[in-house]
Amino acid sequence: MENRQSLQDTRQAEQPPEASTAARKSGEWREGKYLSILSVVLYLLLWIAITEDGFGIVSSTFFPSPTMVIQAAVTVGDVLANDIIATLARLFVGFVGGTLVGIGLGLLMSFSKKVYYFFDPLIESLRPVPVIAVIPFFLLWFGINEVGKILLVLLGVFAIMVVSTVEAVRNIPKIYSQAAATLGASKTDIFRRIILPGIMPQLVGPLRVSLALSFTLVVAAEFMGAQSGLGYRILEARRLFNTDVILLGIVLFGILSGVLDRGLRRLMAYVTRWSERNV
Amino acid sequence: MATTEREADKLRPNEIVLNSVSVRFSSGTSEVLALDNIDLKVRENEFLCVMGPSGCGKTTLLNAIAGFVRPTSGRIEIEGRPVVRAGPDRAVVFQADAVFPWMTVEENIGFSQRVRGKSEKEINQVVDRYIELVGLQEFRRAWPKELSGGMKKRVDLARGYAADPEVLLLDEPFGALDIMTKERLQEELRRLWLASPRTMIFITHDLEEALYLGDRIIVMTPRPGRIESVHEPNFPHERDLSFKLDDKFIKSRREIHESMSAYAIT
Repeated sequence: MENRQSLQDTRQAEQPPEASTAARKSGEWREGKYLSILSVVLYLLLWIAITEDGFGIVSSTFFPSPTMVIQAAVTVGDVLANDIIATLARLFVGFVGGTLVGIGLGLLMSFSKKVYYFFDPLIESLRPVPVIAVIPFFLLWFGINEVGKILLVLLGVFAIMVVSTVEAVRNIPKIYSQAAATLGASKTDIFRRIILPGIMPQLVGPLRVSLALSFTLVVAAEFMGAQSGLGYRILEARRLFNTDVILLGIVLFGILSGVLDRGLRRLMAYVTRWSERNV
Repeated sequence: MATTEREADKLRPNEIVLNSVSVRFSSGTSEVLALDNIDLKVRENEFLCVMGPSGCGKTTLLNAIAGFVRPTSGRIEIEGRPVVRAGPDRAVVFQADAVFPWMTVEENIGFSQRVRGKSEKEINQVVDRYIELVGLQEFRRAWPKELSGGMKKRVDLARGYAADPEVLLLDEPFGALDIMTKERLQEELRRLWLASPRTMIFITHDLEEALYLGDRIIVMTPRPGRIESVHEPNFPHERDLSFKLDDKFIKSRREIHESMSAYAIT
């Protein structure tokens, strides 16, 4: 039939809209991604110019030069490696734990009014308290134990994620749950297959913030009481006035948090690959 | 066209019965009577179109049948059972985009089967059937974000159909589409219905669409919504888009349009 033929043609003409990733990347270069590299190079040059022996604008005790930092890295390298692992381990367990408990409870609170009313006052009264202020208590209860440090990170992350999850659930358009209901989904189905995947894009921001907070909390915990870890090592160096090690520690923290944040972003980009993001 | 119930049709079972259904919405101090004493019998496997101006209550009518809204008075029954909540026996295709963005086309279409606990094989069989009926085989693994509006509507249709509902409720599903896509989908829907017959309740404000798609057309009054008239033009069962230019079609359209203009507000 003639009408059916034209239907075929128009169907083939319908192209799904999508730009290629290669074109996007070269566009970024033109836009100015090279500027990022340029600024880092300038920043390094500035550092060298100000602190390096020979130019000596600033005394090397006040602000170590790049060469001193590299030397420090060589000297304390292997000990530092263990410290990094210790710090990262605490951070990882605390972050993942806090995320799971936070999202889990957030979902439960959205699922059941009773759970919500029960936990809400508790959470809302404790959440504003700066987690760092709780450290003295943690020292008292847990000593210089790993548990205390991990718990600190966990609580900080939990506070952010539980609230973010509840809000994210509220922001899911009602039409999706309605559609799911008319297709035969139970409330559990809706939470598992609609709500949980649907809130992911809205959790990317809170997750990144939580990760950054985790670094602050783990260092604070290590400053207060530890026998290993990058924060502990920085504290030790302070006692001995080894500013080069302190700066090395700071630089390492910068690198670690940058790398982990990048990793988190990559992971979430995969989890939310279905969404239309204004990259 | 006057209301005539042919003898043969009286013998067909009623799929949905609305008995003196009224729906009243109250918020604070104001009260709105959306539906006023609706009596309606929807026959099994008929394609029923509900037409009317904006605000006439046709969406409320659909929501009541779907189970999203409780009637303030009266009762709604499907196959003798009272309608209490939303369920897969009355699947809904909305006007707004309701295709789940985090599921691929095949996951969307297979959703109703998956929540019923069917095996992968059974789910695939159902998906195969309906994805072919709406012609989206090449986009089986695509994300909704990669599809055009018309394609997403087709996924929505296939998804609703795949739930194998007794009744498919469609709330102005083509309202947000351009005319060409709309007409293509109208033809496709009718073909889909002929291939897989079931009771269809289709809401629209477009008279041409209602006449093309429906066996019976119900015209509603502006708020409070009542049934103004029922039309049964008895057009040929199989009809394609060219039928819209047929004399019979144009004549029916004019008649109904004139009867509506008597009270319609623009």
